[in-house]
Amino acid sequence: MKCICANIFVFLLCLFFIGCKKEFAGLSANANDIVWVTNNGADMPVRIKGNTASHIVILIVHGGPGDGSYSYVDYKTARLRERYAVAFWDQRNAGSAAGNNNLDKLNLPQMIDDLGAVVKVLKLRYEGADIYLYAHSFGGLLAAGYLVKDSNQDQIRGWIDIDGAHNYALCDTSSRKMLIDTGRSEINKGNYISQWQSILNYCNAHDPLSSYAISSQIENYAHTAEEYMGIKQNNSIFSIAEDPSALLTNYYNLYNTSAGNNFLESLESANYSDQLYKIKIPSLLLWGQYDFVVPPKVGQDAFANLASSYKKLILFSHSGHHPMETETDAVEDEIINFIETFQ
Amino acid sequence: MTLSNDLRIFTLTMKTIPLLLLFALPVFAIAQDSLPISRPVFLYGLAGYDIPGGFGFTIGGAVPFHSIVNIKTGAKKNEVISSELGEYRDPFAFTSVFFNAGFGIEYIRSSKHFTELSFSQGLFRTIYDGKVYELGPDGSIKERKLFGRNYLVTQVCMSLNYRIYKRNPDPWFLKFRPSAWLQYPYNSFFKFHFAIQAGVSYCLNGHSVS
Repeated sequence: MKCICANIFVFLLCLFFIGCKKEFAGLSANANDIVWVTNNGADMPVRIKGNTASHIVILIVHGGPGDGSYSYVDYKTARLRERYAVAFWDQRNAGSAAGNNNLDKLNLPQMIDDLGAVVKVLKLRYEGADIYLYAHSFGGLLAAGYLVKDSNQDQIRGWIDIDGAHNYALCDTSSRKMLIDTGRSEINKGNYISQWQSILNYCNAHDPLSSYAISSQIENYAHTAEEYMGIKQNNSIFSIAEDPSALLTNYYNLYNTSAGNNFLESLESANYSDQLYKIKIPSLLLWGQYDFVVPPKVGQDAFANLASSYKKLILFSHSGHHPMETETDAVEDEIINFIETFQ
Repeated sequence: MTLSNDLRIFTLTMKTIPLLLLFALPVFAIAQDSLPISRPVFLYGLAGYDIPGGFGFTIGGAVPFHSIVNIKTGAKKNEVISSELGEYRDPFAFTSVFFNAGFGIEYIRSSKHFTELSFSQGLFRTIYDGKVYELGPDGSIKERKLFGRNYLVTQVCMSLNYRIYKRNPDPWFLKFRPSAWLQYPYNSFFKFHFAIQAGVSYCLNGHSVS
């Protein structure tokens, strides 16, 4: 009898710890909130940090696909979090997003729907707040797809597009051209001759639009080419803030399953260039000059096609695909100036 | 016969049998006391660290049902059934509770030390921190209370057990237990875990281990 009672007591003690959940404590200059958005089989965490009392929320739409948002919770957004709230959203099958059997629902329209759900939740939770989309790389494709659809852009105060890939085919062709042009120039200067020659040989012999495998290989070359241009990269496999076990699972799903590969291949035909004219909200385009993955030509395409009342394209001369890492202060200055223009 | 049907039946089975085992443990212990053979029943409590960053605790019990003695070497091992209940706090914004049941083999090294290899299956339930919002079919947002997900778990453990005091018989042991376990289906795949647990175990029927 004593044994049974002891077991029951300990079980009840377990339940006590279950009750340790963070509840919304109102607006704060130093918020640390967490909410989850569950939508069609995916449970996506959204961590809101920083100054929620500012009534401005910057929603991180991370890249990858498959990267988490939590790697942005460091120096890259430190000053932004002092002034504004920053919402770190893990997209489905990325970061710490969870679920049971949901890989069959991984597609671009679903992810655009997820973004819409997250925006609605932020609007509900922080009533009256202005929401800015901070979209990087693949996140730029997601944000473009969201903003051109229906009247979604009415929910957003401004779009911050950082090396955003709104047109994957244009990324492929301009990436190849940039690698060839830069490779020839660097070989003439005597820099990394054998490395650039390998890249040149491959790019000259292959068309990235012909297959996903070739597009992927050229993207790999694009990432390594930054190093040859002296751009310092963060080569850590995982951010220490991420759940590595979850990341491993999500990366495995993307790159080693047929459903994941089908999703990645489907992105190759994603193109919003001819729809960007629908976007009229203020837009800030931030690009690394040595971004071989999503070259500046893609940023110029976005700038040319946007019908925004206010639009600005900035090139960062010491940066590649991640200017928020390599020129953090300059990027944050531009974002702060952009937001303050409309306050 | 479909995979989903198999999983449904497996889930129902795992919900029923481990629960019966948990309530039957005290019965087993009492029955053991009446047996002439020395087979120790252990209850244990462990604090755990699930890499990277999850903290929790586990309580459980192991009941031996068969002993094997090597006549030549004198080496003894017990085959045990076990069940346990636990809870973890994860820094990536959820709490989880789990229930496992399984079997293991205790290798008796001496009166003061034994090791155990065990395999178990169970259920794992997450409960997310903060509020959980769901997008309805009409586009509205509604809140879901105590929302989380259910998963299956498969666990393999090796435990090292050392009697705390040298006097014999003494029912208290220190227990150190690394384990590897899978949580599934997690985003249509497995999520791997590695945990380290340490705590104490109590020999319920007071018999010597050897």
